[in-house]
Amino acid sequence: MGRTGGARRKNPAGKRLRGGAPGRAGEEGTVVFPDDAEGAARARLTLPSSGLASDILALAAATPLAARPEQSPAPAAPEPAAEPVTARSHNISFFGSQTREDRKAVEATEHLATFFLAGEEYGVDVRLVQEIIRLSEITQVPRAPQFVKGVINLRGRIIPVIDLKRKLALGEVEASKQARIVVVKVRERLMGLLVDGASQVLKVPVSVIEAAPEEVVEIDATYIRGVAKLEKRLIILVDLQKILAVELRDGSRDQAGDPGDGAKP
Amino acid sequence: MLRKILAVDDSALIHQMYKLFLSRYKNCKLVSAMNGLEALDKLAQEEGIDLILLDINMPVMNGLEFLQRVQKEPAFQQIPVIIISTEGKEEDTIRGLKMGAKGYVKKPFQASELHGLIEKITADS
Amino acid sequence: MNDFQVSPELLAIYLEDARAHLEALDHCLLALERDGFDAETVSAVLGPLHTLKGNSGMIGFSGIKDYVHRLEDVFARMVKGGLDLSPALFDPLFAGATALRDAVERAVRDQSEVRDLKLERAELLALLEGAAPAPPPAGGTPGAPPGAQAAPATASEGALSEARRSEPGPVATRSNMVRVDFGQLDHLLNLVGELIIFRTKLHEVGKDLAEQLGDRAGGRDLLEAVHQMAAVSTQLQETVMDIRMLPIRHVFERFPRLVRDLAKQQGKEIELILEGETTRIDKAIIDEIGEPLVHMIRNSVDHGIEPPAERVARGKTPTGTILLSATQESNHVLITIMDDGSGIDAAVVRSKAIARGLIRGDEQLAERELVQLVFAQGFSTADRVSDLSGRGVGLDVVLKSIERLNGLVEVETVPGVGTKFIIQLPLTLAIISALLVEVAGRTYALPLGSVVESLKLLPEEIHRINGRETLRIRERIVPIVRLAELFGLGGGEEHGARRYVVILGRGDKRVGLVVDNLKGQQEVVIKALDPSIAEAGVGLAGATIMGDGRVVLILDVTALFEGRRLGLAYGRAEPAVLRAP
Repeated sequence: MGRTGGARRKNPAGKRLRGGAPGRAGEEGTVVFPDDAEGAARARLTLPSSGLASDILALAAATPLAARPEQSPAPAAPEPAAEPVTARSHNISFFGSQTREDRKAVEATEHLATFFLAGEEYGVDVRLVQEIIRLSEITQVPRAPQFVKGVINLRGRIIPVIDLKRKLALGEVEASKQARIVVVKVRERLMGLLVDGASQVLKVPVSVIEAAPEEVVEIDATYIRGVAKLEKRLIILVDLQKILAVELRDGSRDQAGDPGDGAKP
Repeated sequence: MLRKILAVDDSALIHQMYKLFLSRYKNCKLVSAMNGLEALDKLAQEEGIDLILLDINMPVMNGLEFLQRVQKEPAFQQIPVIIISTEGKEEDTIRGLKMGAKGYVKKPFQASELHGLIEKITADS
Repeated sequence: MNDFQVSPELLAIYLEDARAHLEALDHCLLALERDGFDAETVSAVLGPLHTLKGNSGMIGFSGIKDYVHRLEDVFARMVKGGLDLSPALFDPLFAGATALRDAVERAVRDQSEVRDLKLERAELLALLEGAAPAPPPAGGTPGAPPGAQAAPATASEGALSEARRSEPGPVATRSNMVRVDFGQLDHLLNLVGELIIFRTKLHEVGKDLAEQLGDRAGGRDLLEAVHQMAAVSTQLQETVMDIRMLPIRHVFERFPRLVRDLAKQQGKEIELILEGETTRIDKAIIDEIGEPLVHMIRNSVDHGIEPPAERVARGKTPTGTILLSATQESNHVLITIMDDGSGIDAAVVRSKAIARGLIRGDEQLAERELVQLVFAQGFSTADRVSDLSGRGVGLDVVLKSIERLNGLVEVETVPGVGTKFIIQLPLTLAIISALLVEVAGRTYALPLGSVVESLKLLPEEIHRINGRETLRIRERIVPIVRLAELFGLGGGEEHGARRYVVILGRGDKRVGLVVDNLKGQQEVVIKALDPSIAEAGVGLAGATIMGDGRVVLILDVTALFEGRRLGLAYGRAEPAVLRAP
């Protein structure tokens, strides 16, 4: 195929090199070319992961080809304990991951933002809620589904407002002084949920959360994560991802999520 | 007391990681260069560089050539140099050490490893 | 366990660099395969690989790091001699490059190594072990490509003779640049956009005030100040827009590899020529145009270029050519995809269209219009479902994507000779000139680029043809749509009273939009609408915010040409062609 290059030689098909280990066992990063003099020298002169000139040079001068510095008196360089040169398995920590103990403590409570719909109190994971605002002018969107009230201008961003009562078939939210728009961020998308009124942000211990008894709750069971039984009130915990499933599905292109053939630029 | 560190590497990622790793040295300015030539410029422009973190494999002018030139300048030859080494390039590292670099650390390295080496080296000087 | 945190920002930098390095790898492999061994080609890739290896190691992706290390070994061995540049070598290398890219993308996306590339590494090891013994080095220090450099004079220069010195590589020359988050840039552009809106307002108010003040205190000064502010803000706008413009090379870079792989899979020989890679286009468009272009190139490979034997039988060269070019014209960019393949047969298109119910058997369509049907929904000229083009994606989706960018696409073809697709895109998405109209008390915006003219409407000029309302304008019959009806707003039944009709045009096609009032022209910043809204309603291109904070919806004019979503007095679904007698 095309021109031949410099020192290339034909390789008799399938001939395998014999002689010389194909590399130290278990260390995948090292390949020894037994016929390659420099390679052999290189392999034998392996340096520890860090070092001071004063230590290394002394070593290199003394026994340049034979020594494996890891086995000789360790140079005064800080070495990570018992780590092999290659194949270190990383446990990458992101965004300040918690230790095991911390995580356990967090799991014991749920942090909720709650609001009212048709006299009942509902709660969602507070991490999804960006802010709660009063009603502002909502621009209608022609021929949108009934529960889409329209769009609003949220400091320069235009977000849809969904009448949560309509969405859950509980009626319709009427404009009032108490009505609020709960701005949520689900899967990187901002949406406003129109509710009868906002309640509060609170932490509930996991122990008070139970499965929802059928008779109590009017809305579709798939939306409910459970109920939190507090002293004088019941908070119905709902799953926003499920409620907004249809809205979230629109417009997402990479559902298969497989960049295997590299089609996306 | 480290006031200025010159980091020389052609990888933008490594520079970002240096920023992270070296943030513990308060009041220390991190100066970046993408190759040996740029590093020479920065050395001349910025006064008071206390330490040089030097990658070897870079385009335009690599680390060893940079080091060679630095060692010729009385103004700069005292600045401690740490070679940022890679596996398989041990000879270059040794060569750099012979040329006067004070120490080396192999990629990939942890922050603590770099800190340990820096402390040892700057304690001595 | 790392003793530092890998932030999303770090990962983003890693990914961007890695992509550039992988491009370099692809280019190198393509060049080697095409032209044979070349020391400079190989040495040019060593630098990027080295950096990729270092970066991957530092971030903690050790599997990727080890694989790249192996790749380096392979290239080093190639340089020393002993590796045959045969398909037996290239297949695992190309496959490995693909696997590497996949591993990198996934590792960043999932924030941990999902794919460890063990198999691919083993493959490379097998390659190396099966290689012939290397000849003794030509002289000089280890690592010097034989014969490529003169013997180095000193020991330290030996390391320098690594030919990396000659090739800076795509990543290293960035020291003059500042890394900016695109979100920030977008925000900046938004602010500039709003500045422009207020400037316009200020200008109007200023003019009025200046007139009232006349020659009295400050009248002229005010006007002067307002003018200067207008000039500066225009410059600011242009500069910010300019920053967002990137060379289209970013998109084109992927295609040589794609075409090579596809051609190989189908046993065809294809040469891809790229032109105009320096043409600049808004980053927002670059992000979106890649996929449609991929589909169109796939289309050319699949259905355009014939297998070599067939080409020869037709008197063509066995190697087909695809030309991908970009040029800038006044205020838009033209991207052309041209192939010298089999062209599109209008008769075949016609029969397929009839079979799919897109047109009626007795309809007379000009050849040009027939050919445009390839963009119609659900259309495909493939006899078999090729898993390449047909991942359920056809040219109809391409059309939609392009229209979403306020672009146009047309096709020209000569059966047996070739096909040419021409995509026209605006230079930027963010700010457009709009015509504001009022219907039933509400204001909407129409992209001025689509407005041909606006006229006062006299009810007696409306004719009904086939149950549809139309207007006769000069020699054309133009269908009209009552916006109030379309939007389900009241007041649509009034036939008297003052009305306007805005004539919208797209290519040859015309549609008239009946509105209550015209509210003037204005530059508006288009803000994206959440997809659930954009799709749900009548087809909205976005929304904009007026000076007083009001939200005004921007209509997607294309929907009006198709009538698909409208379901009004249009009867059956219309194809993407509007017929004018």
